[in-house]
Amino acid sequence: MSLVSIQFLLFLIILIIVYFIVPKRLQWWVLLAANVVFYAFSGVSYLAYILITSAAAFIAGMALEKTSLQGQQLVAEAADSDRKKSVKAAITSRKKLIVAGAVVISMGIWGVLKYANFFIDNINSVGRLFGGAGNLEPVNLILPLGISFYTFNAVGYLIDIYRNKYRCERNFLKFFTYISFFPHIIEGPFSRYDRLSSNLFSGHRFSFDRLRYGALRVCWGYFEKTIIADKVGVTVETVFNNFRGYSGLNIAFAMVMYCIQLYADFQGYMDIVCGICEILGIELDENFRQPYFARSIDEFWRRWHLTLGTWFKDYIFYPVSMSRAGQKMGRAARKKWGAKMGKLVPGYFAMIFVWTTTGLWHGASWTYVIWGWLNMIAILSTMQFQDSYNKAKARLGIKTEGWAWQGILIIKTFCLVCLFRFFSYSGDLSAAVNIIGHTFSHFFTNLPGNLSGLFAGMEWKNIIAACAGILMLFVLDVIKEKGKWQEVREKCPLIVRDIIWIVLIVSLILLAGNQSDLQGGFMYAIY
Amino acid sequence: MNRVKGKKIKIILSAVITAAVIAAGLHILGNVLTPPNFNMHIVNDLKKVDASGGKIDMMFIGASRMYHSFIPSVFEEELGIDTVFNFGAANAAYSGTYYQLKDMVERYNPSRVIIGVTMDELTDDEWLRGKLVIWDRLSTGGKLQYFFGGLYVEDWKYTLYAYRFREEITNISYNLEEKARLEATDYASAPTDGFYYGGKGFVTSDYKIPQGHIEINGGREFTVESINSRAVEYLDRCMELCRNRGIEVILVTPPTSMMRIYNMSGYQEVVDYYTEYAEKNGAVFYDLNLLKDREEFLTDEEMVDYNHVNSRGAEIISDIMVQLIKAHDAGEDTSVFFYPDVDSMKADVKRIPAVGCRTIVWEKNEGREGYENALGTAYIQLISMHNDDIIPEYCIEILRSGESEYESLTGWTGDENIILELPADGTFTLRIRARGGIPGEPEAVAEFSSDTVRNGFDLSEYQDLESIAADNALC
Repeated sequence: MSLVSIQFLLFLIILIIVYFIVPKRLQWWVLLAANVVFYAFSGVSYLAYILITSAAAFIAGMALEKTSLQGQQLVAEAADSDRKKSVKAAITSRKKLIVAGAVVISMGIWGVLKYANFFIDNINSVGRLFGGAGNLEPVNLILPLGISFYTFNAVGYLIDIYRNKYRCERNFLKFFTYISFFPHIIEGPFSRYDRLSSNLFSGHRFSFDRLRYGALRVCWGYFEKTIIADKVGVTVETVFNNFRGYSGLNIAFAMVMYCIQLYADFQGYMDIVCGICEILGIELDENFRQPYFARSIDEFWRRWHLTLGTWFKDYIFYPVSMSRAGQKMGRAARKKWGAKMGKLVPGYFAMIFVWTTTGLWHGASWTYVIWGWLNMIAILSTMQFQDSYNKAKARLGIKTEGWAWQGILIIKTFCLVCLFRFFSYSGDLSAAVNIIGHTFSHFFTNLPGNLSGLFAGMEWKNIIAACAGILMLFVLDVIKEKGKWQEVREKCPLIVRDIIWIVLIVSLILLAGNQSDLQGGFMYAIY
Repeated sequence: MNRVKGKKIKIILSAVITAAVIAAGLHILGNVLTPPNFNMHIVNDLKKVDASGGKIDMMFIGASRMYHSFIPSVFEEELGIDTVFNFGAANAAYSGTYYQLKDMVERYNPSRVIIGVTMDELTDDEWLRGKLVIWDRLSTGGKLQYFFGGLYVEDWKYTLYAYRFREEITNISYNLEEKARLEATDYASAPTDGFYYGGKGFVTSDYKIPQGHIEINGGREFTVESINSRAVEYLDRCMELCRNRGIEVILVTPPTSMMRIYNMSGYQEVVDYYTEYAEKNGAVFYDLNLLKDREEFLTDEEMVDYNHVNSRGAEIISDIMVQLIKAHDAGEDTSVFFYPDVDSMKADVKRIPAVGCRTIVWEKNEGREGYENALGTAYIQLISMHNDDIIPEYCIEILRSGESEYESLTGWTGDENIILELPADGTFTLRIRARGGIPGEPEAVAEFSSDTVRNGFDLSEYQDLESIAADNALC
């Protein structure tokens, strides 16, 4: 069921009414039913995959906690420290086995469904390289809805239980409610079990204030998706489908539009789901923090898709950098290059894993891996040359806190993000290289006659609507960046809020989508 | 506590006012954006019916072939009935027909209803356009029932005029002017794309197609499996509605072009289906495509397009329908007006009703000297509608850019697979002529633009170009 559909709006209205009618202790049952209904719309058979992943994580979680408790008892009963050590080692080893088993099942399902054809293509390529036929047939597999998101949530939960961060969930239906929670299943955010469950399973009273704010946020989310993202998406598609017919300026502009499209689409989705959760009284983690105001690529990834970043940090970066291999590398680096490198090298080592998996998570193709590595190289360069960079700034007398320098950094970062996105957009390495090459070699060739020519494929009224929307989004981000959002939200006069409602509703009705139907898909839902 | 309560009341009041402003704004926008359309004439005519007692004695209802074929004033005059109305709607499916029928029956209490029944309505999925045309005519109560009973959830947003017609934002001034003119002239009809409103739901055009020049279109294949069960369910509901109200029903298949009859495989099965259906439901069924000697009075010149009759065709059909009703009312045998079956009707067709062609492959030849003389090769398959005893002959002609006369490319030939060398650039018109049957019968003629001819099929479907011409499976 698309979030941008009348069916979903009906579903939501019924859910909200039923949720607040039933007794508070039964509210999570309503959520469970809603999750199953929502998921079933994508295909009843796909429920099997999410059930298997949930069951594997649930059973493993229970087994982990039981093992931990047994271990604690055995350690307490152990006669001496040697015995304690060997018991602890045995328990740790057993827990690792349990986690590994469940992760293999969950990640295995996800890996096979998402990467089978990627591996087949690579095997075929390697086979052809060595003179073989290289004609393994690709398999026809459809990715179940939200598999990338719920699999990672399940694995995160398991690792947290392994680390004894919190107690495991003993009620499978509650655990399944968390895993299948429909607002976060399509495009995230990645929700930690302890944070989400604390308000998912506690009852909530109806609040008129939450309804008002939540509904307005949902409406704004639809505006971002259908007025900004979908509209500028027309230019993106028009230009990139026939890039050789356009100037480099057009292509560069289209890439800027793509970045805006991606942000508005993703943030729009987040606003819709966070708005829904606000109405229900449930708090979801935010996923964006005005990403295009970042002053470095490193900072960008601390503002963009926050929960994915923290997931990779907590479950890949730290374990790898603090692993035996990582520590060994650190010691060797310290010996050879000094203390500073000794501290940085384990991080570099871990980043290779993080950015390779980040790239692959976004798409089953080497282009996405390269995109990940480009981001990694940008971050590593900053880390490695930070001292020299600071010295150069000091020598040149650059006022780093001034708005001009901050502006330069923001623009520089945005340009880098755009450049890297040539790879993630194209999905194909040679296509990406061709487009970048054409952009620079034909930058001033075949220039559009006027400003509206930059918006290739868009009608004038959609250009105006999209530009107005982008301006609104920018103003909103500036307010949030200055930390004034809460103040504005609470002190906003009623009449202003009403005008915003009128503008949003009328805009959505007059401008959203195209004549025959609304575009139903969200971009990050393909992951 | 009072302050909190006061704030809540203020917020609720503000929400109500905002909602009211939005609703009013959208209503005004909807009115402004809605372009003039034939439904406005119909609604205006219905107001006059309401003003003069609110009774319609006989109504026609169904899809577009109904509102093109039957002139209400002819029936009023010839049958001596006060009011006849034609509620045919473009792309109407039986579900829409049912809700419209229900609404109109409740409002106007007819004694006789003539329901259009065709292969299209029996098998097609529902068209959004058909649903919305009907929606616009319904009363408020009718709209409510249709909204929850007949429309799909994804159709709901189109009932909001501001949403449905938002693309008209660039035509606001023209729409307002035209609607003002309609109001000022009591909805005097003016041609729109060659069509005009003929009164009480009848819409027509004076355009006619030269005999044999009708395009091949509207082909379909009927099987029992292709019957849309939702369509049958709603047709049943129409019959039940009329039965419960004691309304006499006549089922009628309005006329279409001879080409279309040939282009619909399984047509006899559809006739049999409706014949049996009518008997089972105690109704009368007439397929006006099987009228005797139709080749003499319902030619292509009585058609406005491949599927609908023009004003002259409507006059003829309306007169015939009057005679049928009179004969039926007098208890006479009306089967004498008809051929017994489709084959008998086709046996009287001594010509080729239509000809066409499709380009299987278009290949632009490389390396020819002189850009303006560049040629391409077209592998063309000729198609014609005809009886088995007619052996068609074809002649392909070209009207090149800048020329005033057609030039023959092939002469008369019996081959159906032709390889032609045609200009690769610039425009031309290709004319296909087909003859066969009795000498003196008009030829079938079709013309194709260069763009159409240069659109070939995907070459990857075939191993090589030569096999295409030999591949009879394409026919």
